[in-house]
Amino acid sequence: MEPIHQSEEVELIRRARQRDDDAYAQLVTYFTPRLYRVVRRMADDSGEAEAIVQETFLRAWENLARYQEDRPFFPYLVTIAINLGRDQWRKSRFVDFSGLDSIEDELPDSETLLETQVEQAELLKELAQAVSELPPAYRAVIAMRYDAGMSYQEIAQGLQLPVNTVRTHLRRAKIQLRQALET
Amino acid sequence: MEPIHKSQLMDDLLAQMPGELPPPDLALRVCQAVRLHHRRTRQARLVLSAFLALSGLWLALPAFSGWLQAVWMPKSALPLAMDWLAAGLAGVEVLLTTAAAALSQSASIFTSLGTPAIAGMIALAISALLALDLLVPRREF
Repeated sequence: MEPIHQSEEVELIRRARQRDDDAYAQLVTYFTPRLYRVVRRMADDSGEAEAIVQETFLRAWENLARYQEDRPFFPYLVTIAINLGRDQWRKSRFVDFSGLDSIEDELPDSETLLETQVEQAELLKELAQAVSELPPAYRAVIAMRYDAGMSYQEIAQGLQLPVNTVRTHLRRAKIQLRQALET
Repeated sequence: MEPIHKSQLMDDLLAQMPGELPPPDLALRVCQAVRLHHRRTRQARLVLSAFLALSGLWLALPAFSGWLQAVWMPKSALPLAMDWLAAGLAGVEVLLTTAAAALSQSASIFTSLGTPAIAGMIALAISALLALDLLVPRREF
């Protein structure tokens, strides 16, 4: 799909805020694949991910009047989706962004895990699997940072956490991933 | 402290991590859901607007005749107009008197209307706002 330029995105959002359904449909069509990718990283199955994506666009539509046009739209969508997911996952399993500090912080003295000769594609597949086994809070920051390409600041705003906590979560998530790939 | 090159490599790998593609019709389904939601919201507003308009008329109509008399009766309107004229000529003191007279006039109108009529007028006002919101030209899918 052709990328939407910033000015075009702003214009589409402006029209959508005036309840122009066509403009919003263009935004939905453009952002759905990227948003799904982020949400799927966190959801247990594709059905759950689809439901969250749909609900995210509905919420965004309802709240367009309060949306600040100068902010990028995609991080806004991701924030809604992650918070929806948190609400949903809280019902089925414990998701706590603050309860992860006791996890061992030291990088094991492993030798050359990432310099091994494993095929990159296979390594990436294993990595994706390892991410799927991370605690949901870590998965969220990984998805927001690497799938959505959000800055630390944007993640912090979205999750209502201090930026340093986001950095810590990311670092610890990566340590866990290394450990998982080593075993 | 982790070695920089390892951290960088992990960043690169995470950025390249394969992601799942959505079902091809997901965007379409989302658009349909938004359209349906939009239509239902508009219908609900329309029904609410009509309900408020009818209720408002029902509540306020009996008091309208009295209200109109209170507003347009020459006996009460004439002094007010004279006060305004005097205000232009006599300055602040008269202006304050006029304002007090206007407030008193307004209070007497509302007192004469009664609670049901005021509630009816509020309902009519909300109904009008909802109707205006619906009348703003908007394109459908």
